[in-house]
Amino acid sequence: MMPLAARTALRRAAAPGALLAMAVCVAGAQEAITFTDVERARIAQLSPLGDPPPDPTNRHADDPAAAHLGRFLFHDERLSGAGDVSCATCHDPARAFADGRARAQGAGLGPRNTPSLLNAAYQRWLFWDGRADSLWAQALQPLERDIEMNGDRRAIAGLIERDPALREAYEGVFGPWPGNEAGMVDRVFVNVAKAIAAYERTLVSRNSSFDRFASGLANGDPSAMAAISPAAQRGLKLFVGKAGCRMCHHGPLISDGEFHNIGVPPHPEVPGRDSGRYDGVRLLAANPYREDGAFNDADPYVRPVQVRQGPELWGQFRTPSLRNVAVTAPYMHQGQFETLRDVIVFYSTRDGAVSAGHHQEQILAPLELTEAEIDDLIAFLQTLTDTNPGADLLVPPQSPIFRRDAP
Amino acid sequence: MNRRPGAGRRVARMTGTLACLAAASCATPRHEAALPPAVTPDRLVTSNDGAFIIAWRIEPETLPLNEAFGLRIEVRDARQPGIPLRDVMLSVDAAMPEHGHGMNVIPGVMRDRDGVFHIRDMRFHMPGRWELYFDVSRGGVTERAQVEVHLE
Repeated sequence: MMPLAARTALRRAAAPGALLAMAVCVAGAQEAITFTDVERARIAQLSPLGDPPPDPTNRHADDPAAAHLGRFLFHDERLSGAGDVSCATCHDPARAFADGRARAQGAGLGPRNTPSLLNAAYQRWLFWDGRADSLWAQALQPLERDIEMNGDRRAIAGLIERDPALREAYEGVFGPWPGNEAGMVDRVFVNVAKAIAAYERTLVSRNSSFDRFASGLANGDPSAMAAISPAAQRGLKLFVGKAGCRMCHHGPLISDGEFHNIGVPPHPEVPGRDSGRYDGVRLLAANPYREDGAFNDADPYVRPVQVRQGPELWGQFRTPSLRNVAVTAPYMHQGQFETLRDVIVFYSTRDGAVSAGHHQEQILAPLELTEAEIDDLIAFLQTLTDTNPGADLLVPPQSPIFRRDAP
Repeated sequence: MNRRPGAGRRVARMTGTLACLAAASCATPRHEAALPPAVTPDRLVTSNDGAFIIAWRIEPETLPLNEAFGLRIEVRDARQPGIPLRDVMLSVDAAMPEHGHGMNVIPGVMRDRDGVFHIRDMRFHMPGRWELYFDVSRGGVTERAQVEVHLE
């Protein structure tokens, strides 16, 4: 949620020309809600969510066998140092692949909130600070980070080498076991992450009641438009209008995938200031697994975009997708806000907003929403839920070995 | 690539219209008549001190919200605008003045054999008012041209 008070743009949107635009009346609802052409166009930017973009850096990205192995590994606690933490510990399938905690609790207590993995395949940057530029490069880091899984790549390679089922599954995807050749541990480690990423790419959530409404609005289908309540429709009008949420929450992911400092007060139990994207860019530059590293499978090689560094990046964090936001509390990068109401009240009043001492979004101003408007916005956000990408994707397979004729 | 708003205000203003959602619509073609029609790109702007005409177009044709796009740019001498200049350097950047930030990526610049600049990796990640800057350098002097874009 990052509504920016773009007063000028909104005044422009409300120009006489816009008022002359065709209004659309929602039939079948208890209350007649109308949408202008501008609103309809802005809503059309939010849905539908297409297929995930290809990931040429991972030649196994869309291999069902790799995704199957990745689903097994995702739930396998043996990958952690103490054998008691898996990816699913924090990215719990029963909690929309988040954990419901303010801060991640893996092998240790982390400084930031666990993002949902639903629709992670659409993200251009990974982590709150964007320090990874591919899904597999992201999956590598928690495996070895001391406060997450505290694992070790040599131990992980050894586990796969010794476990007959894992080894058969691995070789079925990546080819013969590499033996003791130079760099084999790093290669296996990267392949583990690429299998996990292939699984994560299947975690697509795009059939919310809002999506059905948006389809109905686009096609003039009143029954589909009845998928969300009048209150939610009023909230949607606020979302694309007065509240300015769409300034950052646009596109079918309902996020720009970029980085902003909105002045959220830091979590009182987290020491120091979190630099966010400022260090994220530095860490990305130093990341040997970034897109232009040795493990990029893309052929021909495509040069990645060059990201900008600068003081304005201090305290910026990636805009979260609002899909499934109603079931992924608490909110913000340190879980500072427990409820959606807390978030919207923050934008409405700006009470407690802090300066990071550097540049930040300069047009944030209190929205001064009424209680009814806050209720409507919450009602809209609750229509963005679709937590089941497929029942079989929520649990580990019995075996890591992929059988094309078996679930 | 640290240019920011604050240079001259002579702007070939682009008026975003509600009918042109997700697209920059039109520019003020003040010098169009001086250029050969066959090679005249869509939009023209004169640099702030009048030395250059920047003929530019978006590639592909419309300006997308939060998607990568490119620019095709010819830099011409305002007094002899017939052909692209080959003895100039060009850099391109953009900013949202009200937001206090620009693009989060650094665009790449390439010049082809005909002297045409091709800019890649541009991305306007937010809707609203953007300023697009063309900085032309020749003989140790840099002159800026800028246009204003409203992105829906």
